[in-house]
Amino acid sequence: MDRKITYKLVFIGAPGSGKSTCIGAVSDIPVVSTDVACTDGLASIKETTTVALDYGEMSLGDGERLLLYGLPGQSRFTFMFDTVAENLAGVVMLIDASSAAPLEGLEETLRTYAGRIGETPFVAAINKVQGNVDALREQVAETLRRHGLVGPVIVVDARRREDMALIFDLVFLCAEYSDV
Amino acid sequence: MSELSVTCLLFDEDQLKALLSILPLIRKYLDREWQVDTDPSSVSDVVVVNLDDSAGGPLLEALVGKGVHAVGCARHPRLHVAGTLHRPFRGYEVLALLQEGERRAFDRSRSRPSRRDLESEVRRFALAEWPAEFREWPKEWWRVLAAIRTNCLSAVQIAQRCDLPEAEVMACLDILQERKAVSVRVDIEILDSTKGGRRPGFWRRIGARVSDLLGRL
Ligand SMILES: Nc1nc2c(ncn2[C@@H]2O[C@H](COP(=O)(O)OP(=O)(O)OP(=O)(O)O)[C@@H](O)[C@H]2O)c(=O)[nH]1
Ligand SMILES: [Mg+2]
Repeated sequence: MDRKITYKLVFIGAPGSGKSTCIGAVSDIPVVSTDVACTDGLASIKETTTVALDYGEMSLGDGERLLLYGLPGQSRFTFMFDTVAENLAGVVMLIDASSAAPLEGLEETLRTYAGRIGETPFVAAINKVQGNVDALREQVAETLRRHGLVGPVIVVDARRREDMALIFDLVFLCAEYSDV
Repeated sequence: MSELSVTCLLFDEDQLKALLSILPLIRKYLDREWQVDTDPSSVSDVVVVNLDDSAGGPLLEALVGKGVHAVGCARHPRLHVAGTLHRPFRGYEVLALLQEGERRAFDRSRSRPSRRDLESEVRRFALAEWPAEFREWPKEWWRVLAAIRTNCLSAVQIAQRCDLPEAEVMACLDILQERKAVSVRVDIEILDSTKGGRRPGFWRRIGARVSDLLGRL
């Protein structure tokens, strides 16, 4: 019997926060990306940006697969969350430490998704860090608290597999031992 | 361990002295120290009632009815229920009686939850803040963090859920309390920690698989 069992993991973050990089770091298949050329002000940040979603896969063996999605954090994309809600293992929120206002994207994500994220395991991952990050980490934790969320806040380099492994570890840990 | 006591009711002075002289002789066959008292109002481990006193029969019946470990003692034991002791006391009978008393005391100590047990059932913990330095903590403790991240659970419930010894859970909770990273609630009601939808081991298995694939054990 070749039943295809799939679990899902979602990366949410502002443009340029590293969603495509995270998925690319672990996906078995080339990341399916709907990046298109920027036409607006984002062009100054990067040349392409994801308008719909990134998609990658990890084969777990025995017909099981972990599907990886990158979702924009902006509220105009909430409908996309519904498409991945089933069998969702957890959500990774990426915070771009190098951006001018790293918390802005997180705020918008939480304003949009806090309810959904509260019902699922999550990790807040601060990415693209240079120098001391303690203050930002505390601000992220505080932002989460304000939205009624308690969960791990970690510092990662999305290009490193070990860091990705830590993210996955924490998501599955919360999936296993929390009630949500 | 504390002393146990045998209460003797309706015996005269000489008979009590006889019992007191038997105790040192059988001491080495007993696990606990025993003392003799004659106060009918004190709760003791074993009660012996002199059935040759006219008040003995009804008294014994009342004690047994209350669930007290009480036996009779009579000059002609065979005229009474099985288990009645000889009067005057015989060493081997007293020994058997006290050994039975010890066994029951042991069972009681196991079934009656200690204060500490009760406390760890009744106090509930919820994570107020995921500690920033958790990566330096033992990985077993990460499970505790995950377990109370969205839930208010007792130490017993956490230990069960996380498959960890309670002492380990308590150690983690102590640190969390020191850091004020948990909120504590006291709740007499013993709640069932297992929600219908939980699938123990399910995500752990998938997580281990992913971890393997990422080249790390
Ligand atoms: N220095 C550094 N650069 C990173 C890190 N993670 C990602 N980047 C880089 O940041 C840029 C943006 O990363 P992406 O993965 O494309 O970001 P994204 O979230 O997919 O962005 P959108 O598709 O626009 O929403 C890329 O050039 C990455 O190489 C990191 O941890 N450190
Ligand atoms: Mg992208």
